[in-house]
Amino acid sequence: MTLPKSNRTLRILLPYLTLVFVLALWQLVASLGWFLPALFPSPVDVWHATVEMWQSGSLFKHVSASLMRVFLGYLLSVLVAVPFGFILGQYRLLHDALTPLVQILRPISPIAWIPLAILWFGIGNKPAIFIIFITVFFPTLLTSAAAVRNIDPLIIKSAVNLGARNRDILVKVVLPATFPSIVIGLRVTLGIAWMIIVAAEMVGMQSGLGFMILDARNFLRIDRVVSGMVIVGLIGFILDRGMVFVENVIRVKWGYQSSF
Amino acid sequence: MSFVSNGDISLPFDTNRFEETMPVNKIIVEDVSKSYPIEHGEKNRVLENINLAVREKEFLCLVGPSGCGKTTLINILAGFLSPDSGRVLIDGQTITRPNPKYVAVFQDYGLFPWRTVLKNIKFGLEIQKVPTEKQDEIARSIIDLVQLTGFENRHPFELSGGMKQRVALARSLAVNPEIVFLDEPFNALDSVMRTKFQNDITTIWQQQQKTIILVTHDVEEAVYLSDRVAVMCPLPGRIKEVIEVDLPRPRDRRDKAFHCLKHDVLKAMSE
Ligand SMILES: Nc1ncnc2c1ncn2[C@@H]1O[C@H](COP(=O)(O)OP(=O)(O)O)[C@@H](O)[C@H]1O
Ligand SMILES: [Mg+2]
Repeated sequence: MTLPKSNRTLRILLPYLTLVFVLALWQLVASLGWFLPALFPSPVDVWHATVEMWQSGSLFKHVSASLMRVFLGYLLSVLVAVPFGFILGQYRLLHDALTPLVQILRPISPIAWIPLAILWFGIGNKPAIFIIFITVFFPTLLTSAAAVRNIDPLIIKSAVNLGARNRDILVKVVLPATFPSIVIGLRVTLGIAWMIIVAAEMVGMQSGLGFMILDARNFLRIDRVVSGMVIVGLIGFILDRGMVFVENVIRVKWGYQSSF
Repeated sequence: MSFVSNGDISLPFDTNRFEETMPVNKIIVEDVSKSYPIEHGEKNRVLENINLAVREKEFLCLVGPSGCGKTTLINILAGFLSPDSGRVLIDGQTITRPNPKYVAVFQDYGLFPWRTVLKNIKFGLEIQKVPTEKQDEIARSIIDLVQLTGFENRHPFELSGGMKQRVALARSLAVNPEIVFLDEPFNALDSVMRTKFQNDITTIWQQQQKTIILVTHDVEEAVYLSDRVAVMCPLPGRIKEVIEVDLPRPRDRRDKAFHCLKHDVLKAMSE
C-alpha cells in the first residue's frame, strides 16, 4: 500500500512523537510538585541516576549479568526443547504418556522454582539460568511438538518419493516446515524469559537488573528504580527486534518470503 | 538396462534387440488385495484381487467412480502402502518402499510451501547431490517442458491449481523417473485448461519416454490420453476390464472410433 508522502512521513514520526509527548507530560507532572520528588522522580532525575550508575560501573555489571543468564538459559532450553518436541510430535504414544506431566508442570510459575533452584544449584548464576530454562522449556516443547504434528503428511510423502532420507527430511523438510510456528513461540518466550529474569533476581539473586531495582528501593533511590525499569523495557524491546531480525535471516535462507 | 560386465561370456542373443521387439512388462500387479478395518472387526475391502500388467513406456489410465480404490492402488504401486496379499513387481523386483525412479504426483500436490517454484523443482536433485550447474540446467529444461517459464521465483501460494499441478509434475520429472503416477491431475482445472494440460501431458510423455499411470474418473479423458484404459469398479474395488485404445495420435474427439471406445468404457463401468 502506498500512502501519500506526507502521510508516510507522519507514520514514521508518530511513534517518536508519542514518546516525546509522554516524556514531556511526565516532566510536567513531576515539576508541578504534586508528589514528593523522592517518590516521583522526573525524567531528568532518572537520566542523572542512570549516568551515575553507568559511571560507577554497576549498571553495566547488572545488565550483563541479566543478559548472560537469559541468553544461556534460553539457548540451552531451546536446544533441548526443540529436538525433544520433534520426537514428542512424532511418537503418539510418548506424547500421550508425557502430556499430563507436562500440563501439570507447565502452570507452575518459574519463580516458584527459585527455592529449589537455589538449594540445588547454590547461589550465583546457575539457579537463574535454571529458572530461564524452565520458563522457556515447556512452551517451546509444546509448540515444536504441535508444529511437527501439523506438517502436511503429503509434503513428507513427496520428499520421500523424491529420494529423501531421514537426515534430508529433518533438514530440508521438518525444520523449514515447522520454522514459522516455532519461531512465533520463540519470540514470545524470549520476551517472557526477560520478564522472569528480572523477577527472579528480585527474589533470589545478588546481581542483575532485578536485584539492582530492589536494592535501589531499599535505599529509597526511586530515581534508580525507575531507571532500572526503563532499561528493562528498552532491552526487552531490543531483544524482540533482534529476534525478528534473526527470524527473517533464517526465513530468507530457507526460501520463505521476507516478513519485512 | 544394467551395465554388468559380461566378462568372456558372449550372450546367445542381443539383449537390446530383445527389449525393443518384445513389449516388456514394466509393472506387474499380482492378486493384490487391500482392506481397511472398520468397526466391529469388519473390513472395508478396498481392493480385491487386482491383476494388471503395464508395459514399458505405456500410457495407462485407471478410470472408476470415486471411492473404488484408485488412490489406494497408486499408493501400493508407488510403494507407500503394502498390500494385504499379492505383490507388485516393477522391473522384476517386488516393490517395498518408495523409489525416486517411480514418482507419484498426488491430488493435493504436496509442494513445499517455503520453496519457490524453481527450488521445488530442484528438491530431488539437491537430495541426489547433483552439481549446482547441472541442477540449473535440468530445472530450466523441465520448466520449459511444463511451461512454467516466468514463474520460477513464485511461491506455491501465489499459483493457481493448474500451475501447482505443473510444478508438482515438473518436480517429479526433474529426477528423471521411469514411471510417473498421476492421481487425478486435472481436477482443479477448468475445461479449457484441462484440454490444454491433456495435450501437454501427451507431448511430455512422447518426448520423455516414460511409463505413465494416470488416474481419472473422466472416461473421455481416459480414452483421449491412454494406450489402454483399466476400468475399475467399487465394492470391492477391482479391475473390471482393460480396454485397448488403438487410435492414432494426435487423437480427434469427434472421431467415430473415439466415440465407440468411449462408449465401450462407459459400458464396462456401468455393467
Ligand atoms: N487410510 C484409510 N483408512 C481407511 N479407509 C480408507 C483409507 N484410505 C482410503 N480408504 C477407503 O478406501 C476406499 C477407496 O479410497 P480411494 O483409494 O481414495 O478411492 P478413489 O481414489 O478411487 O476415490 C474408500 O472407501 C475410502 O474410504
Ligand atoms: Mg482418489
